[in-house]
Amino acid sequence: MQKIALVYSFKPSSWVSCQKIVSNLVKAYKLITDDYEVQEFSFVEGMDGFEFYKSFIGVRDFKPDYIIFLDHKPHPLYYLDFLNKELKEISHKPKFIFHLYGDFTLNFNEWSAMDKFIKNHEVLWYVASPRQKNLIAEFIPDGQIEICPFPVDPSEFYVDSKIREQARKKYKWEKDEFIFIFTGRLSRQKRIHQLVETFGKFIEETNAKAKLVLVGDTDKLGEPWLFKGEWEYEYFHYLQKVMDKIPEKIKSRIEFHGFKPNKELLHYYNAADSLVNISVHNDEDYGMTCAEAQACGLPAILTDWAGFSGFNLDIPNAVRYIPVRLSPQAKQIKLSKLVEDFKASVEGAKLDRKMIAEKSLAWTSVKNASTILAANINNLHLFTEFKPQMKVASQLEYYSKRNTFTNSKKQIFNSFYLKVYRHYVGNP
Amino acid sequence: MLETLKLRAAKNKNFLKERWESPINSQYATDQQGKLWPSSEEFFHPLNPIYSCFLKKASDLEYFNVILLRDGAYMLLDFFFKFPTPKPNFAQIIVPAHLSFLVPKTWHSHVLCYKVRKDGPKELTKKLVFMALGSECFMSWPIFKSQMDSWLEQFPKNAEVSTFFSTRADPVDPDFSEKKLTFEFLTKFSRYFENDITLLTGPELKSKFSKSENSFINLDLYQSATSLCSMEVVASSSSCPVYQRPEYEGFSGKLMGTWPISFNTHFDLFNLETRDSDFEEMLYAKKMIPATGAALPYPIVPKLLTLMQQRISIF
Repeated sequence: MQKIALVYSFKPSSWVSCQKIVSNLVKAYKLITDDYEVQEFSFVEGMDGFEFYKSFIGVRDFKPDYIIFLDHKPHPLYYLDFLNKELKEISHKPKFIFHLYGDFTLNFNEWSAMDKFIKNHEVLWYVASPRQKNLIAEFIPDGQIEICPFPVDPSEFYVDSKIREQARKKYKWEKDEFIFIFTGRLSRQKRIHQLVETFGKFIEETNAKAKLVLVGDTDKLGEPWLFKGEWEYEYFHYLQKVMDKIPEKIKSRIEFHGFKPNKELLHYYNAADSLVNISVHNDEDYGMTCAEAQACGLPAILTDWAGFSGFNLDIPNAVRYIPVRLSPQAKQIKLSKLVEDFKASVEGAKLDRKMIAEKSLAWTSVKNASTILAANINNLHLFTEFKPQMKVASQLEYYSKRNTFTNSKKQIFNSFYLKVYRHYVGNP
Repeated sequence: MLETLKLRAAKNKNFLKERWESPINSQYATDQQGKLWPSSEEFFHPLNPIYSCFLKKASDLEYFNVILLRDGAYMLLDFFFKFPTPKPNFAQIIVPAHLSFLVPKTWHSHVLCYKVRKDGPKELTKKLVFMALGSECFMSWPIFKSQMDSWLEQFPKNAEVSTFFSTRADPVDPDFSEKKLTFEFLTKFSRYFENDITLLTGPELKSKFSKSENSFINLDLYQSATSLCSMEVVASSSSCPVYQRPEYEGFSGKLMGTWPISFNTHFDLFNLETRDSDFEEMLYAKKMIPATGAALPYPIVPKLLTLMQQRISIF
């Protein structure tokens, strides 16, 4: 029986979506344990030396056929740096599988430095969406990249009309009120300020019986590659200013529910009528909220950006896409289309939520992820080197002191950003 | 009056917006603030929350329109020692309501007060997260030590307990001496609670706030270190309950209005009306005690601690 070593952080990530991703990936891998012996090894940011030593020595002693890195942090380089030496001493040559996240483009130096540890090993790189694959293929040979969605556990997210009824009562939403919901970090790159403003305009124009509900707390990520840093709660107060400009009678149609624990999202998704997310975040490799919302049967309005494009279903109007245009100065969202989609959602026919959930989960469920993982595990490729672009990127990252994608003189995106992130934009 | 304050704040030069280029920025003050980490993590608010160690001279106070002081009792008293009388061009100062008894009478009409209020569940859960800056003065340890046993009785013995205990250089104690605080504190905790105590790192502390089953308790009960603890603000903006801060019963200011800090957390703003005014007595004590030639702490620390014990009830 072949052996698999799963390496990930046993302590949950500070990124809530990554907590779920890792735990669901572990579930997916455990579904293939009939054919493999699986052991889990911890690799935690800031772990003490003793625990770290125990971990990679444990992998060495296990002599796995596959070493699989599930997590986005810490970077696998720091593990391989020590493990590689141990493996060489016992002349053991495992295969490597890496699950890649949206922050891939923040660590070119680390990826580049890793090549000596995986050279002449068989490897596989998993990405979560087709456009992410296109982006990653700028740096990694195409044939080595496969798509496996970050899985959703259908026992945690599902359609339930009773939950819907109870939740709508709890949140005091009227039966005929159309609820648009956003869940996740309220972030400048997720364009919450534009979402709120545009929704306000939509209500002003149409007086539709609708609400916009935002579940999540603000962050301070800002727009770093445009030199727009932020302090804690600075974006919160920016949103307050945006809200102050909205007429009083419309303000009540916009609800901020703050941060809610993961288990409450099931109630929110069932109670709502449509997800709306106009993020143009640089790290939007997938969109875990989209996957979870679709598992609860929610139609969605999404920007045609990055990982979101992968949620298109073969059901008319289940997903409405907002075009995004990329320029050095900004990522521009066609807000007029957003207004149209708000209208179309409210006035359009109700969709079959069970069908949406079924079609979505056919791809995103833990079971399907497990099928993909099992199918590809014998489909690895010999790694010789990264593409030349990886070296370019790592040098740019180093010399710009990690402002890899910034034209720091003009404080706009540089040409490298446009080259790499064009893959995240749909065709106009 | 709140509208006037909002107008002033809107025109304010915000310290964080120009943090490193600000004329009041200094390495010394940044270091002093750093010693209060993680309580002193910076966050943005239009009311300009600052520690008074950045305000060294009168012109610093004239640079801004509005300043909200994050100081605990030590720094706040020191601020008023430095500036016992306000000047007409001074910024609008907003001080913690709990420490309003330290405001000199000369400042009463020039000062507003704030309290931090959290919406949401108030009842603590059975998973308790305690946070302390591990310094004797900042835990008001000399007085809290004798009260801790009875204070702990309000918590269930079978609670799951984690603590973040930051042992940092004590900025108000220039002398090196062996401190047993950490051990004394943990011994009392271990004796009271039935389950093992989990010790947290900084990132682990922050990760606790994303789970509503955790309750947050700041052990700086007398607000000696900082009145506006960042961890409390972050915990308050999440869904986890936060231990109610003790009140100073002698405060009777009228509520002027509310200004949000984040979702679920607000500043309640008051004018200053207080039963007690102890600054003048503290100033007299400071002048009477011969100078030792040492920097802080002033020998009046025991006097201040006793005063805090009289004014602030932690039960």
